Amino acid sequence: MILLPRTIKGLSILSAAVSGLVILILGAAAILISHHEIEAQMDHRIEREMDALLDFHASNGAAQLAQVVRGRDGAATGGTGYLADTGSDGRMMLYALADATGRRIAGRLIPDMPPDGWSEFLPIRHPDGSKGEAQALSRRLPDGGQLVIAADRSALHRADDRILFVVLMGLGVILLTGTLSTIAFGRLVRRRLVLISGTAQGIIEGDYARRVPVDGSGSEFDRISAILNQMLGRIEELMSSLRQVSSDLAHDMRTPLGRIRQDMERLARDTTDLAAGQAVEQAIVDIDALLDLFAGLLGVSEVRGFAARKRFVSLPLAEIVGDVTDAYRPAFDDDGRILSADLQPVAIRGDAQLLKRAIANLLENVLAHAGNGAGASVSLRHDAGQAILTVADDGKGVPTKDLETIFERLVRLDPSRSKGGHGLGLSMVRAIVHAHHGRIRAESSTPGLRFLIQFPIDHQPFTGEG
Amino acid sequence: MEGTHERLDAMRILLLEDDRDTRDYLSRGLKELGHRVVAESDGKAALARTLGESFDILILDRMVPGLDGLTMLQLAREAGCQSPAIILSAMAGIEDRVAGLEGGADDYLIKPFAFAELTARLGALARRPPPGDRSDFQALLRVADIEMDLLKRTVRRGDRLIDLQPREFSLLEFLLRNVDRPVTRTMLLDRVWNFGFDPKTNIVETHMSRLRTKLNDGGRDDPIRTIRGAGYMIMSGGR
Repeated sequence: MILLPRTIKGLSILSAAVSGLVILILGAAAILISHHEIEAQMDHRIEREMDALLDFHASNGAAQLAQVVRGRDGAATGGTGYLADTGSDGRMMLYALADATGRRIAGRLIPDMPPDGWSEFLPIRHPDGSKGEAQALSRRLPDGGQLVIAADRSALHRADDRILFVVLMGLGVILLTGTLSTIAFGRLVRRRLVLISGTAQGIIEGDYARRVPVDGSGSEFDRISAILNQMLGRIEELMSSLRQVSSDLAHDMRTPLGRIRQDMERLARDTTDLAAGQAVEQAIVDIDALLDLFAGLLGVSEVRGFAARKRFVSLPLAEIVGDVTDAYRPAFDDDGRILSADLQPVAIRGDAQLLKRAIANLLENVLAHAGNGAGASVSLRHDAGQAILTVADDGKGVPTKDLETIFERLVRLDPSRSKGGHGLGLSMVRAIVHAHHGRIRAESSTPGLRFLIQFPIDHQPFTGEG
Repeated sequence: MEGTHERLDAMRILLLEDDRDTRDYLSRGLKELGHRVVAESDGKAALARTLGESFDILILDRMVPGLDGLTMLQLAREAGCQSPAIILSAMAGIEDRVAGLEGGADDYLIKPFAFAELTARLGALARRPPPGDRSDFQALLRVADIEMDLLKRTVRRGDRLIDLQPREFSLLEFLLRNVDRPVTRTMLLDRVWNFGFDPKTNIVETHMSRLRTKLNDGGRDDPIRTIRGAGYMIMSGGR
């Protein structure tokens, strides 16, 4: 499988890199092709010139040829200079003629006579004295002499340089425009995605009325936003009808149970039979327990629905925690346990009743499940913008594998389910913590169990109702 | 059970409840306690009654035909009705309770409820001073040989100074303010601890037990009476 980047940034960089590579390949090909073409043209001119001069030599002899060569190799005659001998395409030709003994008789711009045949990089001198190189053809004359015709390669180098310049410019422009457009594209896409993910986050946090903004442009984003909004509308409808069902169910269940309870109360009051009275009172306790379970389940759902957030105000968390620990301290004392509290003042936004309930549930969890004699310590401190509430006990603890599951609804670790409670306490705690934008985690301490809760601190505390 | 309620003053009560069994049960129970009860099953009829007559207390169910109890109460309040009102409802959610109290109710009791809880709350409501009237504030509460000074925050029984924790002080104050009237566990949780929920642990009982131990140090009579199924009551005249 090819690993492709999945982020917009990665894809943008990849796309710019591919465009750049393509430009480089095309540029290199253009340079090579044009280079070869110019070289072939120059070779062709050299061959034609060689053919013409060999014909001239055959008809007119070496002396005449030397004249011509001197005339064409302008520098040798001190005449108009080598520019006079540039070809129709602007490229300069250079000549050298030697006799059978190898003595140079014409052409001084080629310092050394090359071997027979083609030379790719023949050193030459320009009339101004600077050095250069040329491609050259050397031929033996029938009289044993040697004729060299060379084409200066500086024009070829200039052409190569110009094409390279154009390719690099093109590459630069493409990279620049590519980068700018991918940045712009990325921003556009990211802005829309941020709107969509922000909406999704709001929905996750229980704000079912949130919708993805639609700008009316009819773009793909607008279309997908409209579809998402339809989906969210449907979800909101379903949630609302679910709440209605819960509410109706609560009402429909509570009314007849209430009636039964009233009858039981009346029976308990009127009966003279002691055993019957006790049975009736036990039935009332059971009805209350059933209602309590139902209220607990609805309560967890209600808190998870986050409607409570509308009532959130700035609260002194230490006072709230202190109130609850004070309320529970006698219950701990009576069992010979210790409940200690170490609380730093810190403000968070929230609902005092819900927070009290969460802390009460944690302390009741210690009383009910930590084992005989287990004490608890509650601490509250602030650290890096977070209020950190810890409730730890030194009881028998919870197996590591159960540290997550204890927050699930109706989970009771006691397999006999003989202890009281419905297993809703900790799921209520978690729902309350989440409603307050907090996080909760259970961990083993040695010995016992520790709950670590983080809430975001309210930095403008107690400024009134919010 | 009757003995629990005998000290409540007779009141004229409007009861709005559409469930016939509950309505009959409550009417009968309240009448047995000496109250005069006008029972209605329809919100509109109850509103007309409230506007035309004077009641000491309104007991309103929420989901009733005609007008729901909360809307009925809001309309009655707008028309100037100041009678204390308690809502009885199966709608038990936090939002429901908040809506009820913000809608003009003075108390909210969730169905099903113990009859003793209702009567205790009615008693507490009936004695509540009208809004803004603090003329009944007493700096000194005295019941039998117990004396509480709210300014100095001291409690004496006879000539003995009793050292109470703040929560025990509030607990005793609430009992003293409701002398000879039952206060229920949920009322105490509500008013003394401001707990809007019902803890599984008997925190009321443990605090009450400590308060009693401190009050009765030296073997005196216990002035606090436990009323089974209803709550507690502090007695003015001993047992």
